[in-house]
Amino acid sequence: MTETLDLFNQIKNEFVNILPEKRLEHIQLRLSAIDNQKEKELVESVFLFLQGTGMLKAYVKPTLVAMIHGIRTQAEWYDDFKDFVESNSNVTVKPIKFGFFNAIAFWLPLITIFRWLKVMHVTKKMRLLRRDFPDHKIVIVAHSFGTYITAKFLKNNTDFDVDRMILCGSIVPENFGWDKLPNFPRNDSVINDIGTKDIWPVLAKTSTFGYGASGALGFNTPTIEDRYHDMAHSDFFTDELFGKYWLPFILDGEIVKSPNTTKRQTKSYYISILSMFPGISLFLIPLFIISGVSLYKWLLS
Amino acid sequence: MSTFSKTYLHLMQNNPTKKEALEHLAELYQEYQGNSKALFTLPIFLDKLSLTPSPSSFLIIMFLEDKGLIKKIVRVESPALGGIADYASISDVPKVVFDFRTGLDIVVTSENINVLYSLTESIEVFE
Repeated sequence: MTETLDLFNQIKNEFVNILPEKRLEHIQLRLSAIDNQKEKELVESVFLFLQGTGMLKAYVKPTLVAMIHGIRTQAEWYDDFKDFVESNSNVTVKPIKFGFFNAIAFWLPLITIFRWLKVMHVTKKMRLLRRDFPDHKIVIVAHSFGTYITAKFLKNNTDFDVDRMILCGSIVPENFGWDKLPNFPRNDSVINDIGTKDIWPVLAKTSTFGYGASGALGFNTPTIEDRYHDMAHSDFFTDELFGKYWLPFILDGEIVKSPNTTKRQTKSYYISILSMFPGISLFLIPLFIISGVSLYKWLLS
Repeated sequence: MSTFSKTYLHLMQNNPTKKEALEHLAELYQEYQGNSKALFTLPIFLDKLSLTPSPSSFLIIMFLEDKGLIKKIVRVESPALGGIADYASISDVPKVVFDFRTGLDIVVTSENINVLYSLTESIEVFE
């Protein structure tokens, strides 16, 4: 009897880690390798019992987190985040680095080839990840310019499924067509973490074209959870935030509410007005300079 | 006392740990009058015997099979619902089965397979 129970547990442990669509093939191969008829019948009975009672619970895919950083950084937060997540769970964390991206290349309003090159670079790395981890659920954690790359990547690679996403300090346009993307994670699977002291998304939006202020104002769409924290642009990378807010979401999709979401102050009127006009600084700054110079000349004359 | 009752009595006396399941099976026999065409899915069959999905329940099911009280059928089911082919063993299940319900061939996976139990018509127990 003990031997039968041992075999029962052995078969259960063996098959629970096999994809459901592969189980039949696996049991048939296993049975064909057994000569003893009694043993063969026992193994088959165990398998059918486990299968019939649902004791072979649905195969749970392992999780892989891909981190995508922002500009003017070597993404030092990667190491802290990787260490925290991997030491507190079975999740694998992989960095996606695209090298140092300077502010000029980031800003150039009409020459977008530098942005495009970074998107292509990340695309290659993401494809490599999928090749090496074909059975993993992929969760993207992106910061700042990394959110822009993520949006472009998903738009250009609609065959690439992502399970969940955490965006922080996002500079993706607020009206970006996430909902049109077939590979956009559904059912409360995207979080947009916003720093209430973060001005960079507004600056990115107003200083050039192609970016948005979603990291300051939110996406305001039912398909993305905008969550506010009392933080500046790069304050997200603490063990406290990783453990309290990000890890439950990565592991179970649990969205832990932040008190700052309901207690936050209304955005400044001027910031709200300014952020309505993408690239407005491109016109305002030269206008101020020309006006200033003209005024100066007029005063001199 | 009929042969049927004697067999059960004998089994219950020799296997006290399985007594309750045997009593429930005897009730099932009386309810269905040993109709071997009555098929039960495993969860329903366990429920009828007041068993829960567990290794100890597996031992009881194995015991009932060994004693010839119940018979196992491996059924391939159509995604359009309903059985399309029965087999004595999972080793006999082919990779592809014609689904007469939809007119298409289906690739069989473990999700298309259901194990069913029937009551045997005659009981022949030798202890």
